[in-house]
Amino acid sequence: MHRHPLNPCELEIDLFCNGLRVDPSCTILSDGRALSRTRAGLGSGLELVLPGRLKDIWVNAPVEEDFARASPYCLEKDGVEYSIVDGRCGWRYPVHLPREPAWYSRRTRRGTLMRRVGVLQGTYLGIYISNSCLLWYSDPPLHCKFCTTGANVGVNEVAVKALEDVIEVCRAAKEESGVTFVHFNSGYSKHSLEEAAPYIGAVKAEVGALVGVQLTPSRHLAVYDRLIDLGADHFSFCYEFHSPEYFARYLPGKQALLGQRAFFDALEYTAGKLGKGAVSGEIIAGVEPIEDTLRAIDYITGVGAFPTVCVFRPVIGSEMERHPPPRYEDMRAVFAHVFEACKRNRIPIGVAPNIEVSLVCQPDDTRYLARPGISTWAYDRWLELARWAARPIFESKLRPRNLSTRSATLQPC
Amino acid sequence: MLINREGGSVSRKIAGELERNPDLAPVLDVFESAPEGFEIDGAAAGLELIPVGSTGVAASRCRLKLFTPREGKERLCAFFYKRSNLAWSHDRFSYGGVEFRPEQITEVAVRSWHAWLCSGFDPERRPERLRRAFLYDIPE
Repeated sequence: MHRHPLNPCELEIDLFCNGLRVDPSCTILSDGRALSRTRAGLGSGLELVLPGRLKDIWVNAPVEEDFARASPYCLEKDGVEYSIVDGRCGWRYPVHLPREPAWYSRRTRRGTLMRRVGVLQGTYLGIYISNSCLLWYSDPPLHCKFCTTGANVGVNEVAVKALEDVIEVCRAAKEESGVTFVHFNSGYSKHSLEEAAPYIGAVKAEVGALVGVQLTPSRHLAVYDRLIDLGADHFSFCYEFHSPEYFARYLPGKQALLGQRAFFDALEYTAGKLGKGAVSGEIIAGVEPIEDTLRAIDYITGVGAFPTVCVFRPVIGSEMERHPPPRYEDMRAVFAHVFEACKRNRIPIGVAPNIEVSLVCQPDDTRYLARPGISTWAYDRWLELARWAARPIFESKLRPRNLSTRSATLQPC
Repeated sequence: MLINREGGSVSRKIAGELERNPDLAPVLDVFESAPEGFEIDGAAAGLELIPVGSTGVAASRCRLKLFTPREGKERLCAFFYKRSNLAWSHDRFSYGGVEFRPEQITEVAVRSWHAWLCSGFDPERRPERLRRAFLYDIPE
């Protein structure tokens, strides 16, 4: 039990660790975003906004996992207002439920339901180019132990997303939901980077948005140069565990087919190409020893990238479903370290416009955990300057590019 | 044991399902003879078994549905899933299923289904021949 009410970042962390119960007074279907179980991973929870003094924080709170049933936190509705009540002490935290976008239920010209093409996870648009991952179809399966991609009914019926559908959904998300960032990812495929190229080129040319790419790393680093030329603004590399032992144990496919070093090479290469704060190393906290997680954060920030730290969620149906969720105290220490490491390495966090990620505690969320002092004050001022200086760059990037990239292709390396 | 087998609507439901698929009787017998309690969902398609009482929290959301995937075909399916935590949600979380022809049913196999259901779908106790994905709809 906490000694004082939590700030929004602390509450975000504790919700990730403990989950959330939903009181029958809540009318989520009419007030909020429906739960997305198309890929029952991190995005399987309930989208909430925790208002705060420094910034509002978006969180995708676990509600379906077994551990959430024992959560001290309960979402309640009183009139039209929602709040989270901590049953241990009665503290009440006001929250907002983001509305479901109208375009979710519309169809593209090809007839595809738009929400089947992409979904908002916070304020950004996440698009799975293909939700099939070859690691699920090997014998024996080599998929990551925490993952559920491939486990859902009919998963292998879903085809690769049509380019026309993607463009249409990106345009609707930008115009109607104010989306500035489109994030493409996919499961393991031998040519996933090449497959991503047409999407990147088309979004840059026809929509105008910041584009992120999260795919398994290529050993042929020149492929990243081509994707950057096409307009990729961001790369993230999910190596999950810094400890080589945990990497091998929980990511058998990545261990067998890629190796941890491939992630580091791609991370370092792209961080060098795109500059500080444009590339991310994505890790899971709460499974490997905390010391390894802290080492990961130091490594990632040390190469000029920012850490995307996912609090381990034992998602339904995964191999690790019975692995306990982490302790709040440990996770708070991890995220306090994220801020200090970003500050120490002068990583520009929270600079890009309107990118709020609900699935993780973002580096700029951790400002709430900062130790007060001259170095924090100086970092704040430096970030303000960075935001001001970067504004025209982002404004330019949010305009469609005059490029003929419809036919953007990469030859498989 | 099957707790509500003798209830009016459930009793009729079981009789109807067994008339269509008499080979499911040995499956029900295994659950009838088990020390744990199970109910049959009278409103669900097929024969849906719900652990109740002594099976514990881990199994309380778990369900086993026995149904015929394709009308007119002999093949049956034992589908395992979890219900949503949320009362208003009809989401089902699939853990896969075992397809079988009636003559393939063995007591050993059904006992493994029973054990997996009671364990709350412990990944270490998955039954043999479990498939994770299907190319047909699972009826509600």
